[in-house]
Amino acid sequence: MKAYLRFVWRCVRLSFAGGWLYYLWMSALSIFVLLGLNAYCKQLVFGLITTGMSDQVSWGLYIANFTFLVGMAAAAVMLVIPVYIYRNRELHDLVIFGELLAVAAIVMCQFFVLVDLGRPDRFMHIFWRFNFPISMLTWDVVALGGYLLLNLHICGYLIYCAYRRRHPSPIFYVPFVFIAIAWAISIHTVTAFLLVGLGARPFWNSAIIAPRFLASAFAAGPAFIILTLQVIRHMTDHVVTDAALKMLKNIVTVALTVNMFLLGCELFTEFYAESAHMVSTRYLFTGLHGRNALVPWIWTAMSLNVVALTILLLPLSRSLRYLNVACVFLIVGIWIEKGMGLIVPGFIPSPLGEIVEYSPTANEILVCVGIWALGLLLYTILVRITIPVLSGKLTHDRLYLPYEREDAHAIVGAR
Amino acid sequence: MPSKRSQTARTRHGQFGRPPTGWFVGPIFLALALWFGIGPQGLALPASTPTFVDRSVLTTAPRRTALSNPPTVRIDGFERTCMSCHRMFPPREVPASKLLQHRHIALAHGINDRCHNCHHDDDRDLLVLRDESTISFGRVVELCAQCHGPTYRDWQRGAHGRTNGYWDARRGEVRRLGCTECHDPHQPRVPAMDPLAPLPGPQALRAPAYDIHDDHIFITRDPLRRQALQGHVETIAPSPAANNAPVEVFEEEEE
Amino acid sequence: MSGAGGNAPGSEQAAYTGRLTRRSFLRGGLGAAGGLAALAASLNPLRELDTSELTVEKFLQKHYKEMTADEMEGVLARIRTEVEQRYAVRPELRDIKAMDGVEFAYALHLGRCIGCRRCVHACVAENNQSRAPEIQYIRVLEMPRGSVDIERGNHHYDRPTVPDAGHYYMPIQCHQCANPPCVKVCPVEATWQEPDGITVIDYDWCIGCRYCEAACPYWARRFNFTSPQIPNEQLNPNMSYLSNRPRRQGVMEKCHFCLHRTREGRMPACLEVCPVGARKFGNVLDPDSEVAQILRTKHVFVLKQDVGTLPRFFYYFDEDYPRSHAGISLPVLQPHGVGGTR
Repeated sequence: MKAYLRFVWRCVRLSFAGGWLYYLWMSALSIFVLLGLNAYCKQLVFGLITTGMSDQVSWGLYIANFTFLVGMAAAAVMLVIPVYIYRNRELHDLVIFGELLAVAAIVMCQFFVLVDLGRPDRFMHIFWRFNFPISMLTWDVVALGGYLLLNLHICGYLIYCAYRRRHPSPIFYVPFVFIAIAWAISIHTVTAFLLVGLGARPFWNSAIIAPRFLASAFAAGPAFIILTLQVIRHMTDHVVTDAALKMLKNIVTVALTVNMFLLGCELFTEFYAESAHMVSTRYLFTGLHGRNALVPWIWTAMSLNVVALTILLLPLSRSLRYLNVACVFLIVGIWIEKGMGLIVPGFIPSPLGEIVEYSPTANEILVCVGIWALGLLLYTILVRITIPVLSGKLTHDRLYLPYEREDAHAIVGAR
Repeated sequence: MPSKRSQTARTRHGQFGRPPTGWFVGPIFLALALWFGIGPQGLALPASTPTFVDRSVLTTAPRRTALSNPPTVRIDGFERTCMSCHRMFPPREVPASKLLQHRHIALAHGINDRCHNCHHDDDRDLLVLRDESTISFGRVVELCAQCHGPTYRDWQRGAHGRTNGYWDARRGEVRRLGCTECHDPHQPRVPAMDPLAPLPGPQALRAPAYDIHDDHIFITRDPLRRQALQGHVETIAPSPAANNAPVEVFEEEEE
Repeated sequence: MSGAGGNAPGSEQAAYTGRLTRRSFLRGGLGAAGGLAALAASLNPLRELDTSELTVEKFLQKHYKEMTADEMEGVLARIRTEVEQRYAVRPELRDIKAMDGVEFAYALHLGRCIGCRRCVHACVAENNQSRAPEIQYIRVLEMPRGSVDIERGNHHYDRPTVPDAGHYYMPIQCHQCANPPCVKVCPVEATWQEPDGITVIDYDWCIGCRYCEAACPYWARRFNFTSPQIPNEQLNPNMSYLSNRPRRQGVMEKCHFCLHRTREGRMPACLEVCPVGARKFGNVLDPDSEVAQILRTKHVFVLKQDVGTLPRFFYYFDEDYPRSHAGISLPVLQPHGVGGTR
């Protein structure tokens, strides 16, 4: 236990050690976190009237980001499956980064739900009277909480074993990894079912929502991992092969193709029959009764996705620069699609046919930026700790941090 | 002596790179603390002044008071019944349009154009049915029921007409209003009313307090907006139906 | 920015071994102090937080269904004190249970409603809703004749007089559905169906996630986006725990058929004020009640029947011709005999 606490202390020290670029990055993130915290305090005082939500559009940017991030968390499984089921060698050392991303993403999700609550001081009511299994929100609580614990265990165990220079015994992590594969699929399915189960909202009450969620998540998540792996490659000496990136690129391409196909299915279903059920889709893509705030957003998202898919399908994407452009495009496109293109149009028009548009307020955006910064901060710290440990530099019997080395030199001489 | 560049190159992929400089960290956060502490506080929240609806509009009393039985009128300080005057002269059979008295009563009751279709020829304190039997004013419902059979059946069931008070007869009075407590027997069509104002536009949480077009402030009948304007204009002209009284009309209006 | 600027490479080497120098102590301390100061200062707005909701008593308060009679009495006493402190009005607050053998139903005569919105504002006056921003449980739609398509309804009609010839009027409020989607989705069971059919909310249990608001097909539920404002003189002191006691910021509310009145046998406020008697209410299990007879004899429909919510709010209309046929004269049939059958 004492060794574990010492390990934790060394990790804390390590989080504060770095070059000026590291300090700049962490300071910037911390500033945004504090700005977000300040904005959230104002929201606690005045209520959710500080956001752009209304009785007609009662979920907005917070739930939009929540939906997107659950997808990102689920995408860790896209690294696990090639390695553990198909025995891919290239990605073997990179799975941990996917799982760390899952941890950070789930923490962000929990925060987005917390800031969306009207009475966060009563969050414990969900433990005292749990409407399981009828309410899909309770399934979501179980799924997200369980997934967080799973990933914390897997990552924590592997990292601590590397720190203690022990060989991790498979029984303590391999079964959990396989459970996590199924669990990752289920967290996003459950989040989709939150929306699908509402007969009042024909825009959401469709069987295709869950498959689309998964397809877009498995495109956006690995794309984000492609970008972060290149950052890791530049900033540290951790080995990231081009073959690994190529494998991930293939995953993204397949997922994005499926996503676009499912989009095509949705568009045909809605626009061909022209029934009243597609009025929200019409609002989204063409505007309704002169109200068309979301039209530029969705068409931007569609264009970004199409361009990204084109780049990925062409040999052009062999070049890392174009691959990065495609990744950025599709992450932004899918973020818009899941947020503006799914959550908000479900409320427009209202069940009584009223059209009330939604645009987030500055305070709301600050809170969202704050939570994103918190997630990136957490992810940076996790990666900062993981790389030295896994490469064998930071272990229990090795001095690593500069002050440790200096003291050792002074006291016991060279080690 | 290795050059500075190679030194940094050697350590670039090492643990820390250049020394943690971080002097900028402290001052930046202190500046942020100052911004939070003494910078702009609060938020610009949407206008939300309390709204006001004249409570007298929300009366639960019947729209009309049924006449007493027999009907009385106050003349020179005395309560008079109809026969107080009508016994003094014989009845005349004239169409309603040719009356010399009671000219304020405009008869618009379908095909009825004669007073004596309902009022008894000789005894003005009574009403007359089609078989020429008489009933008192208190039983006027039976008179209406002669012609308006389906409506009367609905009224008996409770599907037509107004019920106030209690739904549970064991606990209180179930007050079924009679025909004349909603309908004027001479002009039975229920008159149009002035609707109370809706919430100010869609997205009531974020409605502006007033509309300004071309330097004119348009004052709506919406109480919320009118209230919010009081800080902005000196006088507010009350809307024509400020007390929201029912407006009498005799015909459907083409809007 | 570099602390080693101008030094020889050797001292640079010494500098970044991390030995605690005065310089590095100052740097670190300044950073830490700045960070902690910024963190504390960012919580500045919380000085204005209304902490009256954050008491141990409220934290430990149980769900309505789990409270014993004594605990309920304690809670009611606390609420009475709070209301009196805040509004200077002594409320008559009780917890009224459902009556046995009663299931409420509401019927609305579409041929009679003139769209005057008295019901909307009587409800606001009766149920202590916020006035700023104003929360209204009832929404009246002005529908064009010839269509039941809700999307064509006008929510914001503002005519000099109503009714208008080309339209009819449809008020919509919570239908107290028998298969309520809002009850299904609440994660904490803060809303449920009572035995008499009313879907109620425990305002002290709701966490404000607004899932029920998304689930309702009739847009019947409202959220307190900010602290409700009620002028003291407009407070209705006749309250009950599950219906019209003043709510707080961040909880849901909706029409509850005025259960503080109807569970004592009275009519709901919207019905009492309706000048044309378009609204009908009663115990549908009693075959002689108005609503039971209407459901048996009239042309009745419910909104959005395909969603399967089984509402308890019915719209009906007569078979004889409506008011709008003014000016059309029907042929007068000659009776067979004089005097008719009466």
